[in-house]
Parts: sequence; structure tokens; C-alpha cells
Amino acid sequence: MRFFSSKMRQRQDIALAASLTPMRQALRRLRHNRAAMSALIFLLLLIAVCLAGPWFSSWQLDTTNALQSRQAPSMDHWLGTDFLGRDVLTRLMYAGRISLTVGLISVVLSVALGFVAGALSGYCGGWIDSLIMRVADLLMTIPSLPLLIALGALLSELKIEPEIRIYMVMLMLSLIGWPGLARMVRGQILSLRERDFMLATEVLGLSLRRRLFGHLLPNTVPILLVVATTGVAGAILGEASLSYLGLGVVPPTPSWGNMMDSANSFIDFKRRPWLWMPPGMAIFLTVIAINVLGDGMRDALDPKS
Amino acid sequence: MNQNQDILLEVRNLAKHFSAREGVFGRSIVRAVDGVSFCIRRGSSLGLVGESGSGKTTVGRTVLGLHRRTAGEVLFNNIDIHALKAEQLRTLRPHFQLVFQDPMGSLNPRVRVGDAIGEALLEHKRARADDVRDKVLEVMQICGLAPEHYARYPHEFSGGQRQRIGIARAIALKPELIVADEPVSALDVSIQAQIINLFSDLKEHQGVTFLFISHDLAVVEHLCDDIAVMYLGQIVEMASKEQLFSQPRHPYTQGLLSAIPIADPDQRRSRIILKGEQPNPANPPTGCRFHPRCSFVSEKCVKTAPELRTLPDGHQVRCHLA
Repeated sequence: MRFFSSKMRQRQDIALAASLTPMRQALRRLRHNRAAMSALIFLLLLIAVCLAGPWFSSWQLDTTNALQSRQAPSMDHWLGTDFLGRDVLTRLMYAGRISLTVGLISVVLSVALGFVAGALSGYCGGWIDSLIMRVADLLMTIPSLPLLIALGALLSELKIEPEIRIYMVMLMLSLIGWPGLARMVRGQILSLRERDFMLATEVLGLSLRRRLFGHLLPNTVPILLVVATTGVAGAILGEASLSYLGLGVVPPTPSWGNMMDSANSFIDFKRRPWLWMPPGMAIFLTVIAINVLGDGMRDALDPKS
Repeated sequence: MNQNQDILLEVRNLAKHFSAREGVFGRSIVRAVDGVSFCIRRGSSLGLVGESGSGKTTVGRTVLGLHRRTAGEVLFNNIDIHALKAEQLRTLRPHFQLVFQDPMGSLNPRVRVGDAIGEALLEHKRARADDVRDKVLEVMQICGLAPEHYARYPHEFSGGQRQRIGIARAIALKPELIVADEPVSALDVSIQAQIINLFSDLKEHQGVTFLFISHDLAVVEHLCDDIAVMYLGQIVEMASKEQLFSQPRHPYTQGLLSAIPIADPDQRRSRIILKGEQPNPANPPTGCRFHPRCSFVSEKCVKTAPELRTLPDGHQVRCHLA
């Protein structure tokens, strides 16, 4: 204790007040980022509306009414009706559930896959690394949209039930998503491995398990969170493109993408914007909000870069 | 370097070569450490000095088995640690610890200080889950850290405090040998003195043996019994501190010593300026490796490499002229 001057002791007492984990610190920085917080609030509202909205709607998802088809927005149908007379707003909310779920789950899948592949690749090195990275490279060299279209066409050919098809779409999207994640995790692990604190775990003689799960992998989590967040936007876009082309989520299950296919008809496109504008705007705003939030998280988690 | 029976660490002809890529296809071998031998008696401390790139850090890390040796032996308590299997080496690790140059980089930013110090205690069964906290607090107190620092994260500390944490982590295992790799060069001068005092306390009260690596002779002077000077992967001079400071035999050591500032404006001494820079260790000069920069260079120095000779007073020097 005799090494401390009184001045140093004072400073310690001040520092006593707050001890923040690195994660809490990041959260605090995020909370001060207005754009990111607006995006987060928007996304939470959107999720709430999609989940709870249908309960308050006086229309059913699949109630068709030939007499009321293609009606313009009114007090009864806030966003009008589609060609079968179904309420567009109600369908939009159900579609939101599907699109957001597909986006989230496919990213969870690709994170799981990408994390394991990247961690193995980065930690083991050698032929395991080469093998995993070549597979990832291969998947990344194939343009993703044609690949998705081909797989979607295959699903249609096999006449898969629409409910099961949704899960297949999630799998397809995660197949596209994992190579980028794996590369990122690998890079992160390669750079962390050279850091002094990893050398310290070796000097201390810690077991492999402690070195991996206590030190190496937890340090990849922040960047993984950021990439996963922006990945959700990509997956939602991917699902929308596929469903728009009729190869992703197929009717009668609504999704933002397949609702937009009404824009295929020139008359609808020109005269009835309520058919395609709402799902289009929903996709647009959701993707922007997720990207803004992702950027905010990147800044919050890594203030140095 | 008198023959003492109680030798903790003996390094014999240690070499560490790195293969580096050069151009597209070329490969060159960097002889970072090329035939280094020294002994450290239990409880004493050896200072290893030299400029950047002289291979002193590589010596430190190879001694600890963090780099694989290219040749030579590292005998710790007469056990060649490089001959051990990975798992055997891991269980032996608590006996020799490292203190890093960069205190922040050596601490995991996501691990609380107390956990960072206690983790290895638990790993090596030096503490149980219910008494690890007390043991960590005890070590923290020795290193001048307050109990309330236990649950803090590394980013909440100053550089000097972080280095105390790094030292606490190393000495918690009660090691016999500590390799301190430039432990104070990242700290400002007033903090340097505190850390050096902490080291000398550990040496005196806990009987820790040190291999103290530094580029600063003045820092080494306070702490070390013997000093070895490295140049381009080789030891060029090794002697007790008193001998080395009063009678440096190697022109390189003379140059280094004359660069230490004296806090007395009236006292002048002749400066020996070292010309040029240290050559590339991938392509060392012929003969004596120091000859391109030496002011006493002769034809013999260019042609034949001098051996490390032991002079009658125990002073070891690698120079034709000494």
C-alpha cells in the first residue's frame, strides 16, 4: 500500500462509484446515439404492431370478398383491399410476422453455422482452415440471387407445402449468409490469437477450454452482434426478392415480398398504389432501420475504429 | 558468473530462427537468436539489454517455451522445457511467468481484474472456489492494488496500475522465475520507479529470480546482479553489474553506457557515438557482427567472428580487442 500517494488514493475512490462492464459501456454509448435509438424504437414498434395489430383488426387474414376487391383506402379498409377483397393492412401485419421471422431465424442459423465454421477455421488452421475457406469462397463466388432462384424453382418443382416452404427459405438464406460471417469470425480469431492477452493465457498454463471459451471466443461476440444485425436486413431483402418472384414464401401465406407482386400488373402499378406501396415501404423502412441500428452498434462496440 | 551450484535457469546455445517471406518466392531466415548461453542463480537477476531487434524479447519468449527453439537447451531446474510434451509443460508453467511490456494488451478487456488474477490459481488447483478471492486480494495488496479493484475491468485503470495487475497475475502463482519483458518502458518515469521498487521488493522478500529484459541500462542497473548485452541475436558481453558498468570491454557496451545521461552539468565525459543502424538479422555482416559500426574495427574483425571469451575476472566478451 505504501506505493500509493494520497492523490492516487483519491482517484481510486472516485473510480469506485461506477464499474461498468465493456458491454454496459457500449449500451450506454448506443443510448446516446439518436439515429440508432430512433431506428431501434421504430423496429420495436413495427414488431409490436405486427404481433398485436391483427387482434385489433376487424378483418381476417384470408376472408375474401369478391364484391370488395381492389378498393381504395377508406375508413373500413385503411390501406384498401387486394384483388380478392382481402384487407391490405391486416395482410401487411401478418406478412410482417413472416418476413421478420424469416429474416431473424435465417440469420440465427447463419450465425450458428458461420461462427462454428469461422472459429474452427481460425483456430485450427492448416487443412481444416483451407477446406472451410474454399467452401466459403465457392459459395461467395456464385451470385446469390441466381442461386436462390434456382433453389426456389427446385422447391416449386418438388411441390413443397407452403408452411414447410417457409423453413426451406430460411435454410436457403442462411446458406447464402454464413460464408461472410465465417470469414469475419476467422479474421477476428486470427487477430485475437496474436494479442498479448492470449499469449498470457498460454504463459499462465490455462487449459484449452478456458483459453477458448473464457478468452478467445467472447471477444468475437461484439463484432458478431453487429454483423448479425446487418445480416437480418440482408435476409429480409433476400426473402422479399425471392417471394416477389414467387419463389420464396408463396400465397396464401403473405409476406412483404409476395404482396408486392401486384406491382407486376401495369394497371395496378399505375392506378392502385395501395397494393404495392405499403409492403414496399415496410421493407424499405425496416431495412434502413436495421442498417442504422447496426451502424450505431458498430460505433458503440468499437469506439476506436 | 561464478560457478554456483544453485542454478535455476541455464540456457545453452539457444537459437531461434524465423523463416520470413521475401518477395514472391524467396525465403530468408532471420536468425533472431543465434547461440545464446547464460545461467541465472536462484534468487539473482540477470538483465538482458540491447536495442530493438537484437533478439532479447525472442530470448525471453523462447526461454518460456512460447516459441519453439531452433537449437539449444533451456534447462529450468535441470529440466529441458523444450523436450517436454505440451501438457507437461502446461503443468510446469506456474513456475515461470512473464510480465509483458504493454500492460493493457496483456489483459483481456472483458475479464475482471480479480478473475484475471485468480483464474490460473483455480486452473492449477492453487486455490479452491471458496478461497480464491482471499488469495487474490492478498496478492493484489502485495502489488499495491486496493481490494475494491477486484471487480473492475482493465480499462478503468491507469498504465501503472495495469502493470501492477499484470505483475499480480504473474506472482499469484508464486513462480520461481519471472521473465520481465520491458515491463516499464510503456510507463512514464515516476511510475517506472514505483514498478521497479515493486520488482526489487519481490526479489528481496519473495526470493523471485528475474530475467529482466530492457533496452534501458539505467533501469536494469537498479534491479540486476548480472547484465548481458545482446547485439544482433548474440550476447556480446556479460558480467556482473559492477564490472560491466565500471569496465565495459565491448565497444558496443561502451557506446551504450556513454549514452546514459548524467544528472550533473559539470561532469562531462567522452561520448562514444554508435554509427549507423543495426544490420538486418536476416543478413548479418561477416566476421564480427558489430564491425560495420565499430570505431576500433581492424581487418581481423571483418574476416573472423570473435568467440565469447571468458576473461580472468569472469567477464565474458565477444571481441578480438578485449
